[in-house]
Amino acid sequence: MKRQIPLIIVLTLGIFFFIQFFVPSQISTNIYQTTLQWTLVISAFAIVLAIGSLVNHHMLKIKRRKPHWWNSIVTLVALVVMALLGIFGRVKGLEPLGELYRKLFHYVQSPMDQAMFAILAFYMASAAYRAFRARSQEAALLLISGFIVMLGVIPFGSMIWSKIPDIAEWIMMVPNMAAKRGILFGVGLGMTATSLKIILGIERSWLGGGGK
Amino acid sequence: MLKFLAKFGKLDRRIVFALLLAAILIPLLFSVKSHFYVDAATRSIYDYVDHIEPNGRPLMISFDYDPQVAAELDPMARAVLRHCFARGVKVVGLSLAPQGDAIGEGIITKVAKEYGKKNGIDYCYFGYRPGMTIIMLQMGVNVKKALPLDYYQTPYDSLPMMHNIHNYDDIALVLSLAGSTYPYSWIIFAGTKFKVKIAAGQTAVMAPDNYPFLQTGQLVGQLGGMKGGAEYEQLIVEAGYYHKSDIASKAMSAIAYSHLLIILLIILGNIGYFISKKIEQKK
Repeated sequence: MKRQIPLIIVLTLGIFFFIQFFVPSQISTNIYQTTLQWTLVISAFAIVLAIGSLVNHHMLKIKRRKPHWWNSIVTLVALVVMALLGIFGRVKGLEPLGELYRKLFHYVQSPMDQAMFAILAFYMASAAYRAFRARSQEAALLLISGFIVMLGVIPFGSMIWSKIPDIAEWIMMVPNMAAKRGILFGVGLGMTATSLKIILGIERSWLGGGGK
Repeated sequence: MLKFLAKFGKLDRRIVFALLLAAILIPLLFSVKSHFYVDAATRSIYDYVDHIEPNGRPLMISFDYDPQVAAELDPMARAVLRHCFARGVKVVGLSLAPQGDAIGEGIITKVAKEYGKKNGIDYCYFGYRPGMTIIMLQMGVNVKKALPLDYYQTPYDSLPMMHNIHNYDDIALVLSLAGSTYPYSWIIFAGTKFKVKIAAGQTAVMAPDNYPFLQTGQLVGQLGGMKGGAEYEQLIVEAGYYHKSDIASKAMSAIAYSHLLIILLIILGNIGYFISKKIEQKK
């Protein structure tokens, strides 16, 4: 029963919403609206689960004095402080808390996140220098197209030759797009097949237990 | 000489880092200006926004990104907002990414102040709405149910600008600014199902993924990376909607020089690689 009830729910709702998509009546739209509200409520539980799991993980780390356990204290304090400021900062009369929340976000969290991401540029430059070698014909082709696209997006490209941006755009719009379209087509077919398998109960791994 | 050139194939990564730092900092410090080619995808968004009727259907901007990619996407948001406010086009802002909540609020209120625009009348900001695809779907049927309160907890019905907005039919364009696949979801769940026009502002890394949708017309246009923002800034300055280029145009010089450096390093690396190979073959 524990496995059959979810399978019946998925089969019934899967078929129902497949049909609902093509029925533009008021009743059908109302049912659809109510279900969307339900889905929102259910997805809110995911946040509770995520916070619970995060707190649990870091509490254990602190308790067992695992390496760098003090970082877990920072994480938990940041979680509590930002959550409280975010919640109470929007209450009328407590606006200064909201202002503090905004300042912490804009002047602490945001620069830290951006700095972390900016470091990537250096690693990418170093990796491009090391990896972009014309070791084979395919690698040479990749190198040349990479060059043209890079030159196409910067002002120097059109300074060297006015046609470089056009060639770069052609590379993006024709060979790049052909490959992307192929991938998307495969992904689309895969998604349809997986959805059908889930609705029909052939694919059961989402129930847990590896699909047995 | 050959041995010297061979060394270029094995440059220490700290040298690469230092050169890149210089290539980024020098153009920024000396405000080196550059004029660039405007992409067709950028121009189509600009043209579309330029034809939205003032005080008519609003433009919806979804700030679907985190601070990590804000350097690339903030300038786009500011440029599009300036274009809208200068023309009297109303704006509805929201975020489907948790951290986009405060980013959107910061940008929209700052740009609105520049043009003396009022919250609730000229623009509305709804902040973060959890549920992503559910919100996209729900707005197709009932925007009020999807966005019951704005960022400042004002009920939907108390926002004069929102009185005539019921679903996507009342929205001129949805612009999703994102560092991930949010625009893809907007295309599927809002564009295809409810026929609302979608445009994307993406990081340079993500932009190539959207070319198939540009060709099919599922995306009105796309702003790709810092260049997209800089191009839009250039277009609004040329049209007289704003008085000067902003940060993206300045940053484009840094990007141009750093790209040039990477191209040079790759060429040198290949020269070094082939010379080392020849030397080894001779041995």
